[in-house]
Amino acid sequence: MFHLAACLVLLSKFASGEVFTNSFLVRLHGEPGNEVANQIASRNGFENVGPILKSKSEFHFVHRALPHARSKRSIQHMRKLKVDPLVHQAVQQSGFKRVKRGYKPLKVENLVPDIVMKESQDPSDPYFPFQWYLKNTGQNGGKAKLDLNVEAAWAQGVTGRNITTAIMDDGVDYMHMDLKNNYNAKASYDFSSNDPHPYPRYTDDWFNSHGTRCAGEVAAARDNGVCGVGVAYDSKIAGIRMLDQPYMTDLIEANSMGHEPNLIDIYSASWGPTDDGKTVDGPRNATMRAIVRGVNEGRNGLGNIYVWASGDGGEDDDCNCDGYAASMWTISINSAINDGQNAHYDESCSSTLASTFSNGAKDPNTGVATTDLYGKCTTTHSGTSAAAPEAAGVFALALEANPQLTWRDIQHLTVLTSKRNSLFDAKGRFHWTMNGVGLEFNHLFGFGVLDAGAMVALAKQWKTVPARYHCEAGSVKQVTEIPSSRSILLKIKTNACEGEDTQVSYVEHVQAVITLNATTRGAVELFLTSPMGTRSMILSKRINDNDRRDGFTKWPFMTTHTWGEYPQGTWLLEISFNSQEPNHGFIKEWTLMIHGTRDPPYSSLPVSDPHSKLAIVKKAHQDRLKMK
Amino acid sequence: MTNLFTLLLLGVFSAEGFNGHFKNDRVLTENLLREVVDKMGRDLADAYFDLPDLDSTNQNGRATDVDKDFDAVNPQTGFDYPESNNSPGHSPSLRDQEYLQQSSLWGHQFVQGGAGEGKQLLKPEGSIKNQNQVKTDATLPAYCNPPNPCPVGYTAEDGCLEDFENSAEYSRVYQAAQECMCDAEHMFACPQEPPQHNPNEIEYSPFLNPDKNPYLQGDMLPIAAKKGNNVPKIMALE
Repeated sequence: MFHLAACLVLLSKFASGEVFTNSFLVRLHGEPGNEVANQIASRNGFENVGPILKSKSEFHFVHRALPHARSKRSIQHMRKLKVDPLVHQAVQQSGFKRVKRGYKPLKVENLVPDIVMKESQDPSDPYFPFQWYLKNTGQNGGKAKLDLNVEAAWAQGVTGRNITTAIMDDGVDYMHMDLKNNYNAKASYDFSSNDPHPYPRYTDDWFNSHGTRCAGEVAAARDNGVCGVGVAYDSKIAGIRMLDQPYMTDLIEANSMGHEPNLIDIYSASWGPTDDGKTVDGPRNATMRAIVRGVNEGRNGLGNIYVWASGDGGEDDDCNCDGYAASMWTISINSAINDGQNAHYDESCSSTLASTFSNGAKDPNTGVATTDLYGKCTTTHSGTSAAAPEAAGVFALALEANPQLTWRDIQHLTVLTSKRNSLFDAKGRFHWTMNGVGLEFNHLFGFGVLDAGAMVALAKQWKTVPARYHCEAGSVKQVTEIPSSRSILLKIKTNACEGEDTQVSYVEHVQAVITLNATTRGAVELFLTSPMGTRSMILSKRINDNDRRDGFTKWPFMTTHTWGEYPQGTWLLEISFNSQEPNHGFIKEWTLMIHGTRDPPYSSLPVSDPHSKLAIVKKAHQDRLKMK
Repeated sequence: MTNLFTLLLLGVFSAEGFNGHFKNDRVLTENLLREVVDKMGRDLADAYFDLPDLDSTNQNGRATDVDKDFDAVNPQTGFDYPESNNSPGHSPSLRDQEYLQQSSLWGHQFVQGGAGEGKQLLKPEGSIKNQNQVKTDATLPAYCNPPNPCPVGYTAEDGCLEDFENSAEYSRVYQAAQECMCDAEHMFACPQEPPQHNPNEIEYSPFLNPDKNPYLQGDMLPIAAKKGNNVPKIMALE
């Protein structure tokens, strides 16, 4: 058994060809028995392990001087056996691959076989037992092992060192004993008072505790006897105080998102346009420029990571109407509760990339435990805003594991290592579906819950993905009426800019840029289907949106569901009213934008676990290249 | 480039002068003129959307130009879409021919008029004198400034408070010393009159003059903080 295991490990290192073990099947003349076999073995330098299936003529020999596995036959040793007069036949055993069935995919140990997992001990911080999102032991009715799997990342020696996450919020209590030493003062700023120190403003109801709570989730110190522990407890946090004035301006947003882009690696945001289920809004001019600049030039050219909470608008809102969350340059994060259901306040949309955890279970102790204002601790941090900083912490771990990761690498890693685990839609509306290259997604949770251990392991081996291109794949500009009671179907047949400068062969993001108006905007539903048959709901019904004037004007609806797919072929846009009331409207324009790579994105990455998502997608891409 | 335009325009006008009454030529020149104007319009638009400088972003020998995300922002809708640097007009949101150039006016607006200007007598019998009023966007409302305690490694020379106690009471008293807008949404009681003088020991020392905060300018945006709304306020552990 030991040999077999050793062979399997070594096997993965031989990319091609047969592998030979140090075991030999030896058949003797006649039926001389085990004693004779022992003599034959020892005079030729072998060891007789024993008869095969109690046979008197067939024996298992090993040669201790040979490695467990090698890529060539050991001719000399074979010859030695074959010239022995008592040996009828000798066959060196080749190793082949067997994989355990029902193996839990993406275990860290499988991804990186040679990782020395340090013995891990739970942090001693008093609130750690309440941090079920870090380690779910089933406390308070949760589902055991449904967590961010951070201990597996810490065990690999990765705790977020030298990575800074900025909390764009209402300030940070940087004098908090649990945050003090992980505070990056140089990267911080207070835009609400225009000074370098983003200490929160006092109110009687302690309203401005939000940023402090988010900061603790990312970088609260470990084993210091105060509150709990952060996902990346050796990383730094910066405070950007920008929510605390009676209004918001483009200038504040833009300056916040563009603040010190070479000192700050990750920006975490838990705000956006009003979640009233009828707003359609997004970053304005200056803010959009700041994001793009951050992505292109931040982190000395590798690109800043913008993490966005998908929103608390509940099922009556759609985060694709929130231009921040729906942007390709932000990673939008939704939340699940401690037993795997979606939270009741979750807003869903096809631009969500992955999920983390937040409150929502009946038990009030199932909120997010973290630091609170004025040196205090809390167990009741909540909302998708509590989910985004958890993701920021996981990305901080990935960036420490591999500081050369670009903003796109982080998105690819998120897609490849997020897990379905036991996440499910409590109302049974949205099911897990597989896209055209075998990646499972869910409209509520994106590609699943983040797995810090798996992400760190894969980050260590990562090779930066190839260049990204932007292809305008086609458009329909004919004005078409949307009837009240049936759906209409528009088609774009595209070669995805094949042969042009902007050819895309492997999809990352897809945007459907749409202009339409309707008697009730909130009744319109939009579905985009890829050539490989993946159907994304890019706009769901919003019952509170009674707009009849503005509609959507060149609004980019984004989907991540078609990640890794091949864009050539026919894309379908399905438009309909989901309403009992009579409605009508017109779709005026649909332009399809496809963003992705010309070259297969994972071709230079080693595959350690044949059940991993990486293995599945990579194999799909390879098979396709062979077919061409 | 400019020279070329001048030449073209000259050519157009001279053609018009000589051949004005030949219909074919007129069509031709009109088209030409339209093209020239279009071209100028596009150049204007490009100047407004300053595209990122490609060379300066190409660091670490890492990336080719093409893997960068270029943006242009539609000034009407504010939404984003990428745009290839090779073809600045090649994008899903081509702008209309009419192009509204951004106003060159800068700074705050001070507006006076109506009943807020000059000497006027109000009410039918003219029994009340008007009050002069100047409306301005120079001072948008702001809350009190919180204290700025010194982070680890900072001293009072950096403009922060060394002598500081991390408590709600300290912040409350510190802020009460300021003359600022009371946050009625989050304070349980707002005083009718702002305090006339410092009622306590702590001295308010703004790092910079708060009236000059340049970030407190511009149009308001409807932004909501996403704070969970369904959690009981009671702390479960204490």
